[in-house]
Amino acid sequence: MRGDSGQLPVDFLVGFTIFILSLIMVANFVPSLLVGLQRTSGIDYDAVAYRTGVVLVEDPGETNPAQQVAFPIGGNPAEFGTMDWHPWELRTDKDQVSRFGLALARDTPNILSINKINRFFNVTQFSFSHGLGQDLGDSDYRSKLLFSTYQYGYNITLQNISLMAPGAPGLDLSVGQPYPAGYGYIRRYVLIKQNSNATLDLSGPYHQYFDTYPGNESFVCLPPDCNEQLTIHLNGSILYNASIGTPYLIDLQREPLIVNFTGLNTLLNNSGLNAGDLVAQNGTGICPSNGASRAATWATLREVDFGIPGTYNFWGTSVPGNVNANVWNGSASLPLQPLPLSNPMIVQKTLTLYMDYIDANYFNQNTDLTITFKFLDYDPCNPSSLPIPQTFVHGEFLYDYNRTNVTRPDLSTGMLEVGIW
Amino acid sequence: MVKEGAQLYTMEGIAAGLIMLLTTYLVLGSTSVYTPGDTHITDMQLEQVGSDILRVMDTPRNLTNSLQPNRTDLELMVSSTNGATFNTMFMSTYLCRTQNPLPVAKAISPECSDLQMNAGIWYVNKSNLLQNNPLYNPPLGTYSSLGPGVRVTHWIQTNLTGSGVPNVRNEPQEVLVEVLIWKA
Repeated sequence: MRGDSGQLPVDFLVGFTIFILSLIMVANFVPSLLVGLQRTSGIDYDAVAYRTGVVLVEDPGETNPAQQVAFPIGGNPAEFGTMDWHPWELRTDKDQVSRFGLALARDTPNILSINKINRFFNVTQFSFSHGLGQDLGDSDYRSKLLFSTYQYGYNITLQNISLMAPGAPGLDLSVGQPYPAGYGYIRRYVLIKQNSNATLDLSGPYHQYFDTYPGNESFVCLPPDCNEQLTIHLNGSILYNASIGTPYLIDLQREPLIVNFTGLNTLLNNSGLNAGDLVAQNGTGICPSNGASRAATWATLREVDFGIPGTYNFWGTSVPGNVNANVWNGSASLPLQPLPLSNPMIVQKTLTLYMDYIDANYFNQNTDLTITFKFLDYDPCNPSSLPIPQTFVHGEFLYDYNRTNVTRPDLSTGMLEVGIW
Repeated sequence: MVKEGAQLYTMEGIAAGLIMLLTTYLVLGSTSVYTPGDTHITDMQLEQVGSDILRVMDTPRNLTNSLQPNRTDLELMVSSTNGATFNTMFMSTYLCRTQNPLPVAKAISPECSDLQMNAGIWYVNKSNLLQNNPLYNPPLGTYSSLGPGVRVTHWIQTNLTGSGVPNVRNEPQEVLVEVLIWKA
């Protein structure tokens, strides 16, 4: 100051101005430095829900990297190495799964696999006899989906919007805890690819399914033309044709092969016999009381040949993939267990072949695989006699993209919701 | 010139005024950092859902017997300029469902009925220029918005010949479907 005047000198004013400006700028920067430390539930939980939704809807999941191998759909292990190629939903040990993801493949975001869905939402019981027998628990979802040391609460729900395939149950699946008052959220709309299957009514028109003996208009054959064999033909170059988009592919390396033969009883040589004639059982069949020299109302399945000579027999334990065949005996569906060849299977009306998947070593884009059901009957009252013509059936069924042959369900629409708190 | 009255002189007064204005400006500017963040997340959710809906509408449900993809719902609506059906499917079937199955959690927007949308397509016309044609326009009076809108786009391949779309080329082409969603 100048003397006792109240006036500021200019140099002090300039210095004070610079100081104030610096202070204001520093104060302005401090909140920006703390943004990363700020925690508001709306931002954080919504972001985690978004991330989780992306992993579920746009990623096919991943197996343990130590066992993983790059393996295209339909590929042949001989071309891509011999490491374990199975996708995560087919792993028998859940510890081999490193990340859940429901997308069919990497190039099909928003299109989910029904097999991945069923595996992912299975938290109560998994009682298939052919593997995949471990339930998923809370820790699995945290470690393989949420990826955080923070104990997030979560709820993941999937519902179908359009109808599922005929006969298939609607989806109303959920894992996690009930929603609290506040949570982060994302909703995703998806398409659901379901498994193909084939049902062949053997009493129906012959030419509808089979591509051999084209002159015949019935499944029925008569000796000596009749070989009493039904063959399912899987052609890798057809099923894995490059012109088929991934969402519509029949990928038997990753989805089950389901074939139902119905009406088998209509092809049996049972003329002249009534059900009441069947009174005795001698271990290999039912012996007609009237002494007729043939079996009556059943077909005797002796073997299922997977077309790999000397290695894979239906009755053995070593088969390509897992086999779960069922026989309808008129009142119940009985699982067809591996049996010794000396103890064949009696089939009355329906025969179902269900294979979880077919190992890529045995079926891929370069493979032509046939699965043949071989029927053969002996006189049950005289088992040591020569075989007798009984199951008058023959032919080959091509499992392909012809919808007359194979039921390929439309993609169904669905709604996936993820809540995080 | 300098007296002893302790009064502010012109130059000092101007400097002090500038300091106060600058301070006010910086203080006000630094307090509104966080609120746009929440809005952004909501927009992102809406954008994601809209993108999912267009993708689902534009995916063939199955192969035809000739192994060629079917025409999709979205392509059929665009090529027939059926905006009403597009609006019904986009809003009622997906975004703001009112029939079962209902979402188990909250809606994307708590007042979903207030959401409005406008849809249009972009295509190459006979003069080789980009041209826009409306697909769906909401009722007049709903164009006012309470917040920022969300823009969702999706490319489809279709042939617009005979669709009623003006000045269109007579061949298949890529068409951009553009949807704007906002809260009225």
